[in-house]
Amino acid sequence: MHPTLRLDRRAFVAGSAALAASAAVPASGLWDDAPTALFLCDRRCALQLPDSDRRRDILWFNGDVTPVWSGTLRPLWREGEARVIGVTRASALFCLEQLARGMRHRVISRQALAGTDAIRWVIAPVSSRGLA
Amino acid sequence: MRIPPGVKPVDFQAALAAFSKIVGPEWVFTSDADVDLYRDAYSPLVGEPDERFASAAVAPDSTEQVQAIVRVANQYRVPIYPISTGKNLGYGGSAPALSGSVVIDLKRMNRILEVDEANASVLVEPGVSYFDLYNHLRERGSKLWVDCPDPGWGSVVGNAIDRGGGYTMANYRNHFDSHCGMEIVLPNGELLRTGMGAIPGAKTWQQYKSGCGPWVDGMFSQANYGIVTKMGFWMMPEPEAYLRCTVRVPRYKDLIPLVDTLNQLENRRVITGFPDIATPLLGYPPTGQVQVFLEGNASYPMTDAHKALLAKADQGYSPELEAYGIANGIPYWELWVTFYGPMEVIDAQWQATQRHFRKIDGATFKVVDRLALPVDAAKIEDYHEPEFGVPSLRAFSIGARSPFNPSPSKGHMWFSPIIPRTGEAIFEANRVFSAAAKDLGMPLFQTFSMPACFWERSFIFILATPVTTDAATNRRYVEGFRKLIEIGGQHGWGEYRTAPVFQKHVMDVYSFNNHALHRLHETLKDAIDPNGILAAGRYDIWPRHLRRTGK
Repeated sequence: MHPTLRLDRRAFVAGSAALAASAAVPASGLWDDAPTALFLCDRRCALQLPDSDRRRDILWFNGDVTPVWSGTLRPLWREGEARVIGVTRASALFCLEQLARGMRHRVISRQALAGTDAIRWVIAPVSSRGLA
Repeated sequence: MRIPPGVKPVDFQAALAAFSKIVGPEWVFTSDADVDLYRDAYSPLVGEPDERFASAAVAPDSTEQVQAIVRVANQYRVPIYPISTGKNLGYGGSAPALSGSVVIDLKRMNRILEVDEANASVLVEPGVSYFDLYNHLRERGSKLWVDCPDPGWGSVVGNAIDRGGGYTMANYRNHFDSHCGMEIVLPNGELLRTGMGAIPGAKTWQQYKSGCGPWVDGMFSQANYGIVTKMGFWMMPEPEAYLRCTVRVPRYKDLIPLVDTLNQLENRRVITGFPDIATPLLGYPPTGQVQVFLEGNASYPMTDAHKALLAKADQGYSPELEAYGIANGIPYWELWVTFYGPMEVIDAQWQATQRHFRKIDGATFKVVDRLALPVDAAKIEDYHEPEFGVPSLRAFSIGARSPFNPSPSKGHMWFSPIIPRTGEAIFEANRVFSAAAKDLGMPLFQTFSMPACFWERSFIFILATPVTTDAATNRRYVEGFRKLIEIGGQHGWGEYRTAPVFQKHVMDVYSFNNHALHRLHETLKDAIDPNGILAAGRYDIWPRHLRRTGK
């Protein structure tokens, strides 16, 4: 990639972070108490997490779901059914939703976080056994 | 539960029971929650009465199970629709062409059966994704590359039989052309092997493509004459080095010699990688540079004066805009060329390339990347991964909100006409399609659109028609899309691939001699699939009993 692009990427990410800084995270946090195998968070959403959420073991990624899919989600869902919670942008969620379909999981909840382009979502198994 | 069209509920129940015996009940899906997974995520008909749905899905894990399923489908006249991994987004996804068909989901057939390092070939099942194949090759230390599309989550077999393309060397970019040998379950359940695979104990199934006698492989791509259960591919051996450079030319009309020279050099195998034409003066990034799209057109920053000239330009041209570009060193056209091979060879190829392009007055040259391979895995995201045989999902950033795309859509339908590989054709296609899109109120063309160079000897426009949340807007876009197909046909251009919702309209363009080609397709359908159980309507090939109603 040539230097001009690197500069643009920085400017772009900086702009996104500024937009996301006002994210309204509920005081109760983003997660719930249901058994969940993985918490996934897009670093570009720049969420200000409450302390209760910070204590969670969160897998952070940079918007590209490729390494998350190859390295974590696919092996996880190949092992069996697994509930996953995430906070990402819509484009990453779209990818994850399609990938989840192929492993017989689906998005059961999605909630736009006010003041940001982030979505809080839950992916869970469909009723039947998973395709691996 | 939905019932397939023309099938009695009692017969459908009997067929489902038989499917369960073949694959096990856990691999037959009938609940709405399960079956909805096969809806087309990019369907412009979402929520409409004519949205295509599956009635059920069955997931076999062997060729024998596929054969048995096909026989049951014949017994009960149940329409079935095979998918590999079902990721054909923008071209129909995993939804069947005939609503109510039972999807035969081949994801469980995900075995990589052979890797022949010396022959640089593989033999795979349809459930093998580009990620699967890439990971398998890397884990075993293979030096073979996977030519993959953007994005790389699809099936190697599925993408090839839908005639998709990639980004490495020309002889690997065309995924159907790079295949060598198929195994197919015919609609009567019989098993067929093509090419040298027709010889029992064949030693050269993945070495020689056509065997002897009529070469029938093409009949099983974009068609409904069989279910492909194995497919061989020639793979690209990892090159020693990679070189990416730009050729920039200053004037509007320079596009014509730029393309002519590119063609000459590519056809002579001087330029070996994916060529890509951008237009900095018009703010249009190269097709293959996902990163450029990701960051928006800020990679070609524009002054207000530049934007004002661009707004006044006609079809991307005005003498004033051209003069502005020349005065400010902004090229009209920017050709990205890539080379794969030993460093001393690709350096020489680049020298020869520059010599040929120097005949264009004012051409300038730049080396962008010159790399010994392989690229460090930690640095691969600095590049467009598919050009290095690495599957990725970053293409989905195209759909994300960015400076270039401030209002992301809910999906898209690819409008993909093939046009001649000339600069004149680019100008003409822009003139024709931009005028038509404007008349139709279609947000299809920017100031000027550039085609892609996936295939040799032709260009392909790949234009995203948005899918919105408004049904009326989607219907208008669908009608507009169909009109664009018709207009393309009037100019001798046709789509290379399309979603079921447009397949009749696209195939209508291929109408030479009173639709002789389509009549042959349906003659073959009647002979090979007399009960019409397999993928009815795919690419407008309908079985006899649905020819009146199916269309």
